[in-house]
Amino acid sequence: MADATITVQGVILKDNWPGATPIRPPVDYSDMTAASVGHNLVAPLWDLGTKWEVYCKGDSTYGGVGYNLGWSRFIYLKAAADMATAVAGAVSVLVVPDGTLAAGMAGDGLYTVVGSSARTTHEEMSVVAMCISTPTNSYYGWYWCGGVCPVEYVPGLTTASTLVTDDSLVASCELSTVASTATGIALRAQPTAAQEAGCGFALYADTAA
Amino acid sequence: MADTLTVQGLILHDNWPGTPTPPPFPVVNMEAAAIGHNIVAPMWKLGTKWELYCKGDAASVGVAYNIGWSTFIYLKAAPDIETATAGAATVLCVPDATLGAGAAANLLYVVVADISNTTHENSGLVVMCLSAPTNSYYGWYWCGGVCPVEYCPSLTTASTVITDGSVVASCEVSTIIDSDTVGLRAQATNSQTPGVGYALYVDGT
Repeated sequence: MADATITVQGVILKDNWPGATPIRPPVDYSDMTAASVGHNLVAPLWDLGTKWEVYCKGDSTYGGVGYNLGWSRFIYLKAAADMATAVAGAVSVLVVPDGTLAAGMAGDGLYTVVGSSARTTHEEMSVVAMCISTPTNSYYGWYWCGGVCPVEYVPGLTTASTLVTDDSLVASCELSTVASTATGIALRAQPTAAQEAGCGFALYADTAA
Repeated sequence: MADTLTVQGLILHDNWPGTPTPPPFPVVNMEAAAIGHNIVAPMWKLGTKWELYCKGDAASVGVAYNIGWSTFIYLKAAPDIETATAGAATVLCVPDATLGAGAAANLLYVVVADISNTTHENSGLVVMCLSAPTNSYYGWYWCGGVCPVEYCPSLTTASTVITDGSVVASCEVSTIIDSDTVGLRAQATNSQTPGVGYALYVDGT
């Protein structure tokens, strides 16, 4: 299918990453892309896989009334060494574990992510996150991984921001991940007879590009 | 066809009731009797869950291992868990016997490894033994996240779980009867069996 898009308000992500109990952030998290929270740094400020959960108020001060309120989850990940290469990471770009995870892999392999389906073999594993800004190669930072899209904590996001889909989404469908036509990572409606895990829900249909 | 998957390649979904908390004190060995593992009287409520961070560094298990969060659950071994197929480190367990209306309140949390002693081998409720459980004793089991090798002296990076040879990289896995025990399989097409985790790579490796 051709690539399409869905505005971020229409996606509820299911957090499939290890770790069941995200914590409330221990520092000011009003801007999750700030260096002060450890975002896009050469050295990690937190353990890989750390999760924070924040409440999105969704009112007119934060994202406008036409937006989801509720809980969002962020996970601390490492950008792949070639993250800036096409398909480059950028705000609202989906990422999955980089390369091929194999027996004896480095301990941080699961948490090193990439936005190009050409550089991973895990594009359909449904362990997925979304960039909240443009990641620097090999830098550490926060990614959206669960709940409603945290527009009010991410300056680069707006209520018009979109995620790439494969033009298969219908209202109320479960989602899984797939390679996009443009060799990125896309969301699709969970296929009939699927063997993949779901990674979230679409509240409404996607829109053809 | 029996096969195996090294535990680094498995991320478990926690399908058991409840949300984990951090342990109430620092923990380095989840097999120690001091934290209530494999003891005759329970130290914690059945179904209690703890979440620990696996550092995965050289001081723990070597760099070639998953870091991240692991979840443990406190369960009771069935009165015949030492009977073939016996529980042991890396052996998968599921609720014992048959859960029916009016079942004893703790029965959901009494687990067994031998599928001839249960009708719940595909319920989606699965755990892995950290060590060999004693009949009817209480203890900790791995139920979610990455495999907690560094907290379990009986586990190594070479430890394996049983699979049916169908597991491929990036697939969701569910449970399956494998000989007399519970194994993992790639989620079947059109399956109604709940998923219990992800395989990062193919079995046999």
